[in-house]
Amino acid sequence: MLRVNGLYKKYDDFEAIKNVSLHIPKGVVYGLIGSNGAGKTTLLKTVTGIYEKDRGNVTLNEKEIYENAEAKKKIFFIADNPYFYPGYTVKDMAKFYKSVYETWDDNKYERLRDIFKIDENKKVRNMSKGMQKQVAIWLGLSTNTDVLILDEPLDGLDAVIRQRVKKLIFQEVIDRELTVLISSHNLRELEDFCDYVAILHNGEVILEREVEKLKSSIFKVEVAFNDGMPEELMDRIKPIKSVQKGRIWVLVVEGERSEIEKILQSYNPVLFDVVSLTLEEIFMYEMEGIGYEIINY
Amino acid sequence: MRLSTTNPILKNDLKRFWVVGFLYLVLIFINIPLYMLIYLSKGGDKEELIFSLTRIFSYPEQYFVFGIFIITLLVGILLICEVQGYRSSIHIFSLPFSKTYILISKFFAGIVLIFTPIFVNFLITEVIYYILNANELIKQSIIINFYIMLFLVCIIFFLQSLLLGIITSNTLFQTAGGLAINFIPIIFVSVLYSFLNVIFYGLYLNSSFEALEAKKSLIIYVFPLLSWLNGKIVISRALFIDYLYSVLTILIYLALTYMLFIKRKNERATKLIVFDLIAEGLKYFNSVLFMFGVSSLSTMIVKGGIFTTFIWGLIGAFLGYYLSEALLKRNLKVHKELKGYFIVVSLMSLFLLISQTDIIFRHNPPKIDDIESVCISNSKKIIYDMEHEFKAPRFYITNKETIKKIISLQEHITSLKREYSSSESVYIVYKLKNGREIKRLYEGSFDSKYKEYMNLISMDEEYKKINYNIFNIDYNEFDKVMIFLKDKREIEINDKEKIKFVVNNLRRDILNNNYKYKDEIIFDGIDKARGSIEMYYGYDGQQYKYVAYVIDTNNKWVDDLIK
Repeated sequence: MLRVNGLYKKYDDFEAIKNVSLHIPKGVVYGLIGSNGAGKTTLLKTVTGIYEKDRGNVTLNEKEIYENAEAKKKIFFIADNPYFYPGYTVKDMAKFYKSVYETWDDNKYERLRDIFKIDENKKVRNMSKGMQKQVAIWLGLSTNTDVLILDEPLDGLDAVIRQRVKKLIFQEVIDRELTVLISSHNLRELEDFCDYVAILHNGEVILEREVEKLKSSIFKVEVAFNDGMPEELMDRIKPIKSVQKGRIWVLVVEGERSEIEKILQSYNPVLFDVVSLTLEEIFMYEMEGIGYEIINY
Repeated sequence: MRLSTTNPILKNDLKRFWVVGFLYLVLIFINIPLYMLIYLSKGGDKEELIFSLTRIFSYPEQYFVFGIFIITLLVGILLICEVQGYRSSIHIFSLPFSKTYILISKFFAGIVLIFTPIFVNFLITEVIYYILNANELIKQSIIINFYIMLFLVCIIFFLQSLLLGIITSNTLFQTAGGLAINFIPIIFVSVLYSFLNVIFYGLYLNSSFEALEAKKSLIIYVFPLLSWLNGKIVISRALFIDYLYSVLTILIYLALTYMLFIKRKNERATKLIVFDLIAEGLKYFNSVLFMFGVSSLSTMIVKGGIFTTFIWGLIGAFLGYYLSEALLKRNLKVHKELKGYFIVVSLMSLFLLISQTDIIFRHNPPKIDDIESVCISNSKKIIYDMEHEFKAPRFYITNKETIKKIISLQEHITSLKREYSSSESVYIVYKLKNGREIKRLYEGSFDSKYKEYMNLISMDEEYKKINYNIFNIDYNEFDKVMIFLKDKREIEINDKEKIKFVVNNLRRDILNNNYKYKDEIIFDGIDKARGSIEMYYGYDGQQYKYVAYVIDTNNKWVDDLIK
């Protein structure tokens, strides 16, 4: 649905995005992770059609997005620091977006008003940053577009609101197959939320995975043997990472979980424990494996 | 594309900025219909009323013109600021509109904000005009012309503002630029002329800004504020050419605005100067402007030679370049980035070296054997008329002796220590035998020997033909002659034969040295004279041009006319 192919974007002499390719299927939540300056915001703005690409393609349903009003009608972008017209209330902004997006849904707007519990007659610029973000999400969801692109939307929101926002977005994904592209510098924040995750580093996507597959295919094993680690075992399971703590070996292994368990059991370990990894740990190990040693997201 | 009221950007802009339109409406109302109403309801002398009403539409007060300009500039600033700010530009460009759509919406929002107040005021003026029967006092066409041209000139101001808002992201810069764009051309031309005049003593440049205004050049409409403030653009007397140039100017600005807006990269929206090429150009332009300005100023204050001018030019160029660089980089420590300054200085040095040779400018008079004829005048009005009214001199001196005196006069003037004043002017045009023409204009305070030369030259009959405009105009061209005598008698002559009689007698008196006053000093010595004579010609549908002379007691033929 939303496709980025070989994308390059330069600011003067600085290459902010280098050969980025993403494929975001319809009805998924796609997380974009990266530290500050990794190029997330540039990538999102180029995908939204705010910035013109230097090379490559950014398409929605096979149609270029930049300067294409028809394609852009299907996308709503929420910036990390959303803009509201001076003196405008939530109601004024809603009226404006209603005139811009043909897909605007009044019922949804009213339903969300009850959920967010924000006074729609209050001037948005007088609200706190967190409230402004909620207003932006409220309005963004009310536009009822096919794609929602959010730049660090959860930053500055308290835990309760964060969960509420996630839930609302998730509900839209389930109800009407909303496609969500969301960025964050915090992997933990997106762990329970995304279907796909990509890591952006220095303008390049260094890793792109489907979260569920990833979680079930990478795990940690703690194992100990009476006579030490059998030599051929390491060759058979090919751990991504192995650390020895006394007699105990901690192995990060990728593959079919039951298959790996069977192999390990066949060597009669005195200690055998399989632990699921957090998304953050998985990425840390994966990235170490491809040469990115320390990444502190 | 939705450009009606369903256009969300246009609708939103009108909702946000209608107050500016209202301010605009009030400003025009106070200065035009209200004044008209006050004058008409007061009544009084008909001539005075005609004068006052015509003045409202022809020569509006400067504060009104400036107010109109500022409000129109403000309209542009307010409408374009949405694409200048970081957050606002991200917002608008994320919406489902193309850049063309955004620009057109902004343009039409501006048109509505400008047109509506003008149109409402036009309607109010028309109501006053008909209710108070002003048709005998002021022509309907003057009012219509005024409002149409007001609208067109305001669109030009608005587009200037829009264009600047696309080039810069800074509102202060946009405001300053709005003023600069209207004043810089004349400032640049003035300092350039002044600089060239220092380098090339005697250089004649006939395309001054005033000359452009007189010729109704397109450039005047591209930067209309100054000419309107000076009363040089009388928008109530607009002719076809005024409309044409205004519309052309609008199209030029529109094309430029569109081109730059489309080329403008959204990620550079917050840069002081969005386009690198323009930023670079601005540094060089400022460097050259300051170089000309400071070096010209130095000639007036320090009064040194070429070397002094050069040194001050270096300082000026440095100032211009450094200030521009510091402003663009928002940092005063830019002394390591002065490559462009050295380019300007190198070019200036090269130019100054060449300027002192005869390669691009001949410093000395031509040889007598190469000269076919010469035109000379020391009257500023005659010089102006020759260049602008009659486009070229009609009479030339062919007498070898007089030409020798002119050459000696020029050599004498250039040998004098140069005084930078324009108290006296001498204009010389050499027609060479090879078909070339050399024009020189010397300005300064000259000595008594100069006066001796001039007295000798002025005895030449052809000199008189050159220096009295009555020889430049055929008697058939005169439509009316007015004689004003000291005893308050006024005689109007419309009869062609009588006009011919006046022209022939005046010409004869001048050639016979019975007449000693030139056109420009008509009031000089009027107390000793019998009166004055004004001869009208060249009616352009709005007004006459005229030549005027003092009637001396020697002009015996006047008695026959006033009997």
